[in-house]
Amino acid sequence: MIFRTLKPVLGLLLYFGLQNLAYAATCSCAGVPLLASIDTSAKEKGQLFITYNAENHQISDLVSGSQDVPDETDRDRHSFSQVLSASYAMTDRWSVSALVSYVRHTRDIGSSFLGKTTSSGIGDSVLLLRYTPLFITPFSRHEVSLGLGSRIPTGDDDYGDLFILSEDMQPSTGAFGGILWTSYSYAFNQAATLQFNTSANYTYNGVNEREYRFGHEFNFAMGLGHSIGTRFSYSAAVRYRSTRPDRRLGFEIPNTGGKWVDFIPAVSYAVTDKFQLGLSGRIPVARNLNGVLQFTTSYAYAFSASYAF
Amino acid sequence: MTFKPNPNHNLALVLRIRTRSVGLLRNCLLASLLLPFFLLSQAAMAQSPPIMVLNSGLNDAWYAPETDGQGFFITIYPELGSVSLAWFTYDTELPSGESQANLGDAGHRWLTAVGPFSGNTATLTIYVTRGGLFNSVVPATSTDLAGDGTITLEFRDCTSGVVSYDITSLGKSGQIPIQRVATGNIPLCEALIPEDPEVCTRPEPDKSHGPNNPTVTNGTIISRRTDIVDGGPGPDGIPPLETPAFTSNLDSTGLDPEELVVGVKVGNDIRAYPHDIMNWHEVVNDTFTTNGSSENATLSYCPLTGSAMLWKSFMEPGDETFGTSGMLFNSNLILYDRERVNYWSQMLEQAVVGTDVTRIPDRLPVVETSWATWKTMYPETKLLTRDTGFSRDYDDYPYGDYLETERLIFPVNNSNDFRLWKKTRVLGINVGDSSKVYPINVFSNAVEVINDTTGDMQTVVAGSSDLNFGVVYNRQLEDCTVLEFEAVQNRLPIVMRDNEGNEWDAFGVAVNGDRAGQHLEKTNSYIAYWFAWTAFFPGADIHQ
Repeated sequence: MIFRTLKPVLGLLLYFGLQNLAYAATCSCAGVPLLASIDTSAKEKGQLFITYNAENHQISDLVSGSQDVPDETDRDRHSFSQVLSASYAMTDRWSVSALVSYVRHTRDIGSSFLGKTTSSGIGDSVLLLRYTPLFITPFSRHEVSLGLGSRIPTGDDDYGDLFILSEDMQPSTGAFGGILWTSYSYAFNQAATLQFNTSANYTYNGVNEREYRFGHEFNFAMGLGHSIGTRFSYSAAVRYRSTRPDRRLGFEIPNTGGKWVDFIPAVSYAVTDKFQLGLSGRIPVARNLNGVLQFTTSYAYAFSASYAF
Repeated sequence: MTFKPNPNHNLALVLRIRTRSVGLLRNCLLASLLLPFFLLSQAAMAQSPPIMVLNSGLNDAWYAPETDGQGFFITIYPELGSVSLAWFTYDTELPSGESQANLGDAGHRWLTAVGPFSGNTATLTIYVTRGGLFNSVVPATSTDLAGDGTITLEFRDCTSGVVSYDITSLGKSGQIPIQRVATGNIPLCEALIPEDPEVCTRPEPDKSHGPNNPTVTNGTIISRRTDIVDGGPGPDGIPPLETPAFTSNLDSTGLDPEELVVGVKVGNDIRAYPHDIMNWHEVVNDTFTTNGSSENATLSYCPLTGSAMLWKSFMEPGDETFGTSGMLFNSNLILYDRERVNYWSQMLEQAVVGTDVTRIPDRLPVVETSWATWKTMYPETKLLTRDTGFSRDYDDYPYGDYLETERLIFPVNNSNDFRLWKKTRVLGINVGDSSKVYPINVFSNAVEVINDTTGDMQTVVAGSSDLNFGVVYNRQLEDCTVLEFEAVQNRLPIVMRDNEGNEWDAFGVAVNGDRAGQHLEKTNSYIAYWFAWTAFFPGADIHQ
């Protein structure tokens, strides 16, 4: 089955494009990869995909515009997120996906006399409808997909004891959001073992009860994926990401938002025809952030496991 | 001779042979006997203290429990305006050998003192009678009529007082807190205190900017959990300066003359902390030299509310520095003390969360003004340098166009008070429930002085829009004199002159005239942005 053979490559590349269909934060970097584990590749009618994804996102780089700045406060800020998603193909062209997330944020300023701050809990959820008018077959080398989704604030957005922690430390955004995405893939050979992939998405973020709005976000990614045999594949992509500044009370918040370019390598191994494992990373290449000082991504790595029923 | 209180509250003057050994039993007995007196005196002190005036209700026997065995007979003569005191005591040295002081021995001594009184204080001349023998004219006694020193007798209330003695002929001086041996005359004493004494009644300012007795719930006085906002950087994420460096080479700093600085004058140290550095650090834990000894204090500046404070460090060991909590209340900095981890509202100037909630720090005055004005006031000043140990671009302002727009970054209370533009710098003052602000840009270009009133306090305000400063002090002195001020131009740091001819600087210190060295009382006041002031203190009057 050619579709089986293609799955690892397609899954990885679409992962790149959707990696940050999530939310920005006060540091423009605390995004939880809500859609990372949704398999957005074309599926056969009646197919169900379950995916578990875990990502560790280190957010300790201090940046002024595009310049790295030494951080004498010895900060350790990271987010660990786990996402469970399910995708079901209603027809060969229409499918629906849903996910739930669990998030743990940690903030530890080494120079402080106070200990580290942590928060954890259920995060946002997502519903996504996908339409694939054109998909790769032995007779077609092109695939196009369009998607429309909504982020649903199912989790805790007022975490904290005496104080409510900052928005980037909350498991959930507390606000609904809208998602639009599209992708295009081209297979260089009939077996589709080498593919070019590109994707773009836009996230519109709503306002939560504390009148906070994460900045709207645009992502564009492109890369190549290659399968070796029927089990192993690898890929490399470059992603451009741009977020608007966050807003509170209707006003922009300084030192939020910006532009990033990341390099995203990934490998995937199909243990069986139905069970697939994956590893990926995210390495900043360039960035130009708003304001005079922001903490942002140092690196991120993720593990995923998918099962097709 | 021993003075002891009688449990029946009647005077018991017990004449006995004095022994030098003091037994535990006697101490316990004494303590139990004194307890009612102690409690009475504490209860009296806990209430609003009466305006004390010496009267014949004080005529009694007085003593100090710690020096049981000696005591005082005090007699007030209100009609004569004088006081007579007899001090029954002992020799300045023990008798030689194994001998003890016995009745009639030369070891027993007494001193007498006589003099006038005023208010609650009498200043008496001491007379030491020399020679003499028990009930005999031989040998003859002698007394130096010029006196042997002075005794100052001061009563705080009808139950306690202080004897301060300086016997110059003997080279002896000291203080003895005294209390009554019996309490029978207390009602008489209290009845004789005049209702309208000729004693100063200057209103005491509230210690706190906020309510006097705020409700504390779950360790905080902030009722709504959402009122405190986590700004994002985390505790000490905005790093305080712990070892600030200063320079005296002012020409090399390149600091813009119009840049605002927080000016501080503590003891021998005159220092300026530029806003452009404080914007990035907000807290400086500093050390000053006062009378040859070092004193720690914390300067804080909140860039979002434009408010600066200087607080003395606490005396508790290890509890001397503050950090930035990363939290905000009404968009204003919340500090935390690093040992006990209380959270302190900068603009309320008190702990708002923690075991020490409602505690108020000892506050020192600051003068916020332009660098040019401060340098003119104090050319000898030292300036905080950019050599902070942190990689910050101090030429950059961290909050974008925040100062030029109405934009707020965090929610505040009472945000719909549009009587002034939100970021207008105002000098605000709180007295009781009254609050008033003086916009800095409304002051005249030259130094302007306003003799004003806020609540029950008579104030003097000095400010200038060109010089970019504003200060307000209580113009009623401790002796209740109410001064009238006028502006002094072109003589910084002198900014005003009173109706007695004294000249005062921006810190409220008399630098010329008979009152030189005196301080005007610091008020609950500071400069802040209007939106912040009205968020904390809604309904403030605006001086036009």
